[in-house]
Amino acid sequence: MILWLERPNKFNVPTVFKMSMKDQDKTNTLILELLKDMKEATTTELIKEAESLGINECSDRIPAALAELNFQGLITKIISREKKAIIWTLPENKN
Amino acid sequence: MGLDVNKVRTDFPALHQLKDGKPIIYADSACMALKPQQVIDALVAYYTEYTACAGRSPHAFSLKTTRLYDDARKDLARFINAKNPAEIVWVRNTTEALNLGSHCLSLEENGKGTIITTSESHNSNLVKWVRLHNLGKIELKIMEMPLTGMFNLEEFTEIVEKCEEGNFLASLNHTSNVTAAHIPETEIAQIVHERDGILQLDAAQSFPHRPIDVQKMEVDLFAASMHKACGPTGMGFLYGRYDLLEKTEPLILGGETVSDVHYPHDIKLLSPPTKFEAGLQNYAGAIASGATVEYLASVGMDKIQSHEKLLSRTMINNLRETLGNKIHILGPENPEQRAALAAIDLKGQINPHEVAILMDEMKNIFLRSGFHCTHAFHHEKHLDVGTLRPSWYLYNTVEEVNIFVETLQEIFDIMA
Repeated sequence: MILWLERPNKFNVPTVFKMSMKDQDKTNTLILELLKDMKEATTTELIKEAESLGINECSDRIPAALAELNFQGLITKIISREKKAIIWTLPENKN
Repeated sequence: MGLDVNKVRTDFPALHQLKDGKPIIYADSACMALKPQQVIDALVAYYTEYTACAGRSPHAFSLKTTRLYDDARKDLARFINAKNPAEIVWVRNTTEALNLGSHCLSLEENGKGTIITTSESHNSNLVKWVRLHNLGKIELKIMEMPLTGMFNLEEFTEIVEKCEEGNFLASLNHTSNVTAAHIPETEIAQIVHERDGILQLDAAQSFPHRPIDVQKMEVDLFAASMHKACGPTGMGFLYGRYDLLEKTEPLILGGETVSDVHYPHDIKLLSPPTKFEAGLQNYAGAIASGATVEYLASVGMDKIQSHEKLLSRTMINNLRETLGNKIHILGPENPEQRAALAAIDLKGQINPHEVAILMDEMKNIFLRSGFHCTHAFHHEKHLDVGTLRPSWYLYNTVEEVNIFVETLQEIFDIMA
């Protein structure tokens, strides 16, 4: 997917550049979309769901994306003894 | 006297940091090794003191770059006991080196040659061959490896005997990044050479960890990265026997690869290694690669190897003692036959990625989880959620290994 973006750079000079959306960005977006639909999910469930949707990405990158999204505060996690897994959710879905 | 790990640790600034007030336990060296100050200094010196091209301009900066660039190649050649520094080709990484090495097969001249590899191969030593096979350009033979990682010489001999004499390349993992097993390279070289084949080793996991003598091993091609050996990222090398490199087509052509060009069709390629190093090079990276091998040599590769055996023994024995049958450690049973890494199958009880995330949070233990670029091997062995892989190096301590084992036990107690 090719996007044309116009945005100011750090010198406040408007720059137009061609940017292809990176796969990692797509993975992050997909995780957020999946969590919106699923409300909550384990890492295994998210990987399976992403694979079933035909994501063209190495599954090893999904946990790294989860850790990054968690770091950014876009998703949260709890440890579930019942599921023996980490449960990921969107902050607004918590409780 | 053994390796003084506390002294070694003072060389690595990354280990002096605290995260959440606690020290870092770096256990991901099979992916990326930390850098000693000596290597960082070499990189910074190039950019701050004498940034220039090698071999092109007549000024002092350029002369210094040329001298240090050449010295780095000579240092590396001595480090692996190559006959001639011209047998060292700088590349970006092991992957590029292996791709270049496969050109020794001269596919188009000799017809359809065969590449032999094993099922535990890293994608760097597999994907290109599968692609060439799918395009009908080579025959591909993949020798299945067991979970123990033990190399079957008889089976390999049978495969070699079925190849056309003088028209095959065996491209094999020297040390596996999943089973941690080493292959018997000298015996393999004899089998390959008896039928006039070429032996290429993917040495990404061996070069950083043990003394290397390419002449003694009788290997034809030897590919490695610097970033796993405490060196800069984006740097690797291909060692190749000079007569083989002379016959080999470059991967990339352009400036610096030719002595002269005339229209319409005349190009005169330079000799190895220059004909393979097209365009402006990563001089800082190459010079820092020289500093890398100088650093490793100053510590002593024998000492590094012994220290890693101690770490490996500690990890394997403690894991067996504390977690027993709850886990399965891929690779040889005997810790003495292993590199200081372990791909651990958690038998579906916990997702290895979640363990890696929790290890980071609980104890600042940085390690890898998943397929480790050996998707095909994991799929073949039904390890479909991947494995957890701690990997240790010269700067790790026995205490750190113990903390890893205790933390894994703790996570099992919480979650499994």
